[in-house]
Amino acid sequence: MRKWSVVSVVYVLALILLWVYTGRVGMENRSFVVAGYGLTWGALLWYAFRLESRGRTTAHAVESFEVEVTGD
Amino acid sequence: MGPRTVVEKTLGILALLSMMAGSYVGLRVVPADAAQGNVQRLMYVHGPAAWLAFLCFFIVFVMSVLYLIQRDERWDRVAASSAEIGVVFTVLTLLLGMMWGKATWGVFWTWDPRLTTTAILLAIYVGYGALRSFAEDEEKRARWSAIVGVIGFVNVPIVYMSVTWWRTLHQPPSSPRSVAPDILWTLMLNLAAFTLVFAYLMVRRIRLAKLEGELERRMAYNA
Repeated sequence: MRKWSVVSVVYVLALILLWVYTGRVGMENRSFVVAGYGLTWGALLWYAFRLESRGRTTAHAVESFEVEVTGD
Repeated sequence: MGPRTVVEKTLGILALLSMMAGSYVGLRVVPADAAQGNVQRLMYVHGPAAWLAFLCFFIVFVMSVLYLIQRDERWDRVAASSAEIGVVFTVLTLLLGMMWGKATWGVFWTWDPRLTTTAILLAIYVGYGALRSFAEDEEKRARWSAIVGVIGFVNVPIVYMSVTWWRTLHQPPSSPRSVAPDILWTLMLNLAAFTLVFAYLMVRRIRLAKLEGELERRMAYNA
C-alpha cells in the first residue's frame, strides 16, 4: 500500500478516536476543537505529501530531458 | 526529488514526534481555560501557525533584499519556497481563527482589523505566487518577486500591531505576563513543533525549487 494511503487511514482513525475521547470527557465545543486539530494535521500532512509528489513528477521530467539530450 | 538525507529524515521524525507531543499536551494535559473553556485549546495551533507565517514572510523579505543586492538565484529559490509555505500557514491561521471566532464571537468572519489585515497578507503572497507563475524569464521573475517580497512585508508589522492600533474584537498578543504558565509552556511546545515542521518543509521545498530550476534550464536548452 502506498505511504499516503496508510497515513490517510491513520489520520481518519486518529480523528475518530479524538471525537470519541472528547465526547467521553464531555468537552464543550468539541466540534470546533476536533475540526481545528484535524485541519492542522490534515493541511500539514497534505502539503508534505504534495511536495513529495511534485518532486517525483519534476524529477521524472528532468530525467526525460536527459534521455532526449543523450539520444541526440 | 531523490531520497531524503539522514538530516532530512531526522528532521521529519522530530517534527512528527513534536507535533504529536504538542497536540497531546494541548488536547489532554493542559486544563481548559477558565474564561473560554475548551475552545481555547485552538490557541495552541492558531498562535504557532500565525507566528510561522510571519517567520516565512520575514525570510522572504530578507532573501528578497539579498537577491536584489547580489542577484544570486539561490536567494530567490529560498524566498519562493518560504513564501509558498507561508501561504499554507496563513490559510491555516485564518481558518483556525474563524473556528475560534465562531465559538467565541458567534461569527466565522467579521471585518475586524486583525482579520482584514491577515486576509490582505494572504492576498499579497498568493499574488507573489501568481506573479512567479506568469513571468517566464527567470531573471525578471526573480527581480519582480523580490520587489513584491520587500514591499509585501510592510503588511506583517501592520497585522501584528493591528490589535494595538485599532479597536478590535481580537485579543491582544499573548505574552508571558498575560497568560498562565501551563498555557505558556503548551504554546511554546507547539511553537517548537511547528518550527520543526517548517524546517522540514523548507528543506524539501528548496530541493524541489532546485529541481524546477534544472527542468526549466533543460527545457530552454531543448527549445
